[in-house]
Amino acid sequence: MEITTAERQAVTIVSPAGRIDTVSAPILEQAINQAIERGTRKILLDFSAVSYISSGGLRVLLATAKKLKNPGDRYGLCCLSADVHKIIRLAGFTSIFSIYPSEGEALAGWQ
Amino acid sequence: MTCSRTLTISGDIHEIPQISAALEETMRACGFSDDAILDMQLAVEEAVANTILHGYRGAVGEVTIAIHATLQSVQIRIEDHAPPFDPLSLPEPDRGSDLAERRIGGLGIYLMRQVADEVVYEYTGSKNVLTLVKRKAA
Repeated sequence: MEITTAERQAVTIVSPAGRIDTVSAPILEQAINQAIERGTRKILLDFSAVSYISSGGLRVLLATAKKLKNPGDRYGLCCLSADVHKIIRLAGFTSIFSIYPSEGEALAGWQ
Repeated sequence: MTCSRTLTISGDIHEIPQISAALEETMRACGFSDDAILDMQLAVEEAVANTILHGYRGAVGEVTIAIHATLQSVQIRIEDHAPPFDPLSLPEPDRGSDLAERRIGGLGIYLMRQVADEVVYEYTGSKNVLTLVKRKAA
């Protein structure tokens, strides 16, 4: 899995590409934790290039949400494929995460 | 027409991608959709990860995955020699509480049960045998 990290409008956008499974989930977790250690409190996960997620990846999404829950923090996901959205819905995560159709809509709501 | 494949792994989670690749190849040969392939990759990954991490508890232990697909359905039989454990006995995970209270435990097996059409567990001949079935959408 490749992970790209970018900064836009004071938001760190983390974009993994590929499959987030039991093996690759720790790589995503490390990238997110490095961003938080650098001081960011606003993270958007852009999943436009993610084709698959299993419970190992869901664990990382939940752990990140628990880290970014202070007033002023922002955390969300955007650009989910239908298959990934289905798994996130089955896991019951749609009620605890902000999910946006596009990066632009997420950033617009966070300013 | 049938499409079959059997793999034995040594109980290392890094072997999961090769199981996913075998499922894709075998199911695609029997005409399954991308959605059905992703569903069964998820179900099998969750079952195998559970066996490796909780069944064998990090010790080396073989897991055999036998994939048998036809034009109508796919059956995947997963066998291991870990202590007897029925994943279907796990309680439903927490899917309703708010973020502060939310726990992740049990989610993998729950997802496995949701995406497979049929899940059967038996302990036979000193083996855990989990059989997953997915039928093609009508």
